[in-house]
Amino acid sequence: MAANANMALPGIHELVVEGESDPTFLDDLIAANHFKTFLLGRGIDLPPELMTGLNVLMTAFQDDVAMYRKMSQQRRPVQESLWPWRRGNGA
Amino acid sequence: MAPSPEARAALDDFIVQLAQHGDGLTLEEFRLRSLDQAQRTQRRVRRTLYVAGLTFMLAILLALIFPASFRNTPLLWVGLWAMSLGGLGAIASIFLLILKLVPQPALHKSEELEVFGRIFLGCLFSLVFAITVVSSALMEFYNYILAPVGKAPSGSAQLLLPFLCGYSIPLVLGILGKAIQAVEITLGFEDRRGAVVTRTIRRRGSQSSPGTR
Repeated sequence: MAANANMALPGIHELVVEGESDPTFLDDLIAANHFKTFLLGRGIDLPPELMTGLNVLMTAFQDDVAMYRKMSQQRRPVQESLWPWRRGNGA
Repeated sequence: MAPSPEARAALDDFIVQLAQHGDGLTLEEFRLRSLDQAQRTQRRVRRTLYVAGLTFMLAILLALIFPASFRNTPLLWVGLWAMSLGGLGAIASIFLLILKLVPQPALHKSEELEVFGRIFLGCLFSLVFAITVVSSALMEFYNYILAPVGKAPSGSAQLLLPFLCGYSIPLVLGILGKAIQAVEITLGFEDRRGAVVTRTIRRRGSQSSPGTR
């Protein structure tokens, strides 16, 4: 399976095509990266192909990922504070 | 830029691999909105724990400082004392759980309900057990606080029962199980009576033939 993934990732330039970026793909990519970081933090050994592959994808789509993160931060609902003096500050 | 079909296929493959290593975790728990929601829930839970903990501690301190206020209603003092101890027990238990699960990826809405429910149950069980099981020990303790002369009341385990009831739900369930069993035996339920008869016969048999072992 990992070998297949490696074969599907020949180079960064072949991972992208002209057109609109796909939000579902970006969401999955960011979540997969968080998942990977979490597992590594727990001391779980992951296959090197998986680590390299995700890094390659993150590098290839780094601009789109940054834009997507920014957009989701803007869309985040205002958090209501339980403390009255902090209400309305988004704290 | 749009992802090529190869990139999409590779990412799907990676997600499957991550799920295989994730021991039951899924990608859903690591999405931006899930992480954001978890962070907010965690903040709310922490705040609840701090506020509730401080409130219970304050109630205990007030009960210790002003015991004379309850001179006409000593059972109210017992109830307040037990509920505060039970609540503190529940909070101590939740804190330990949270500290143990530091790398937990997400704290869901249901877990927020669990925290509230746990504190509520801690107070409830402590109150019930304090009033029905250890009320005399607590009253003795209250009288000692009111006029601290002579020997301090013994039976610290009994005094600790409200805290333990809040701290450990399995303990409460165990006590309740035993109580239900006792009631069932008293009422003469068929299956329990059979068990008792068998046990009695076995005991009699072992008494009558001590030399056989």
